Amino acid sequence: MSVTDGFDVTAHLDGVLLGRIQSGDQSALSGLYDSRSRLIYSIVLNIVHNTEDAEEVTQAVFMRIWAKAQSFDPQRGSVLVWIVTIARRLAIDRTRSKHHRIQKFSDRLESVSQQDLVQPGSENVHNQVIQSILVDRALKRLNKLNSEQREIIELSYYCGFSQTEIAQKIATPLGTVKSRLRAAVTRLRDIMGNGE
Amino acid sequence: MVNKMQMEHKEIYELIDAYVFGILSQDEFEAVEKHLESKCTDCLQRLREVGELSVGLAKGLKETTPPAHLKTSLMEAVEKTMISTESVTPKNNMFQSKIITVLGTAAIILLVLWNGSLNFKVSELHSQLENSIKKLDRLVADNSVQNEATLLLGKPCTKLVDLQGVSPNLQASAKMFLHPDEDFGILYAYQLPVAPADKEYQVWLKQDGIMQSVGSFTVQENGSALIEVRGLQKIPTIDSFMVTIEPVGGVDSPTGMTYLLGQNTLSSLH
Repeated sequence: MSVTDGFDVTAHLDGVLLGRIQSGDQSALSGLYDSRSRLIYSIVLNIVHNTEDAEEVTQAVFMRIWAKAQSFDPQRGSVLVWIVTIARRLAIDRTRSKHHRIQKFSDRLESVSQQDLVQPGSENVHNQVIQSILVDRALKRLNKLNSEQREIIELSYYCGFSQTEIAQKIATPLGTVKSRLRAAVTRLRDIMGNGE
Repeated sequence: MVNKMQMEHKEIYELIDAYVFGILSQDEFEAVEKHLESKCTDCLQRLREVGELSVGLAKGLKETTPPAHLKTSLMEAVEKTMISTESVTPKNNMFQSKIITVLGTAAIILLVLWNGSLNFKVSELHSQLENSIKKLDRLVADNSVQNEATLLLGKPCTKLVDLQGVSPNLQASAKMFLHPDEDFGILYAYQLPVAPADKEYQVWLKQDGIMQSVGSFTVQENGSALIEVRGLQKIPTIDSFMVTIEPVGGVDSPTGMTYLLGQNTLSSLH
């Protein structure tokens, strides 16, 4: 669907459908699934890294929407923000509950380096992993961050590590990690706000 | 000296980004949830901003289509959780309570008129009754249009016509949703100026060289309107749509300023 002149048709449809879901309309949930399942499944799969968990968690996301539709608070953001936040939380909880603390980039780095006979830990391998999961536009945005900010976003958003885990991983005080994350988020907001 | 609540707010504010990213511990998550329930404006503002960022980052992922059986599995699970269709849902309750309130007001006014025991001016009561009936009509119409919009937007072959603002109202815009098999369309207009009391917006279509009116509307305070336009025929042969401002009650052919104009290019919605 196209987004023109600041009007997001799909976002409007989200609101209409959620209103019907709140009334117990199953067809509206079906419509919301048709509209948003690709995005949600992609978010979840990127975090849990296997299709079995991704399917279960995606179903859990839409079941949560069905069960908790009344709790949606527009003051906290749009319907899509609500859905994406649920998806991320359930996916990360799944990795934690299964003691599934995947060193996401490490696993992928090893996989890519075995395939391509590239030395693990090299910048090229790291970039290949990033490029394998992101579209060009997103890569350009990441590249506009400084290295510390980019690292924080990769580890928190794309890998799902907690701030404590990140602090341990990069041997940085927790307070520094928190402030670095805030700075990275603010910088990304500026980048995306400029339409980049 | 910073008091305890200010400290708590500051600590929670620093956790908002991680809350949106889903990476908080259970204790931190619950602390943020509890704080947000207090409707802290700063934290809610940050939450909205970072939420939109999170969605933007998510849309940067390469997308993967879930397997087809997942939807079937989901809907079966939902079916099992369905409560009796005879129960009244909160959303319907809200709508019905509004109708009850409006009808109740109208009934009380009628009762007072009949008793004649209170010292109201009859003309004032008539005016209040008229306003109540208008509100009721509006509630029913709004709910009906929302239902129609939902159905139309969900159909596979629904088409979209973009209407652009005409100078000097370049900020205005509208989307007309049409389905080739239906005889109505849904117009979503926004950022239109609120019309004077004696004016309203009128919707026109041009077909086979002839301009015809298909509806009229007023906008909400935010300049938006969602209306149904009926009586459409042979939708693919419609050339264009136009919105002008006209006297209340409408006119047979456009006389006022044009605010919106769009060609029927029949771009697909899906």
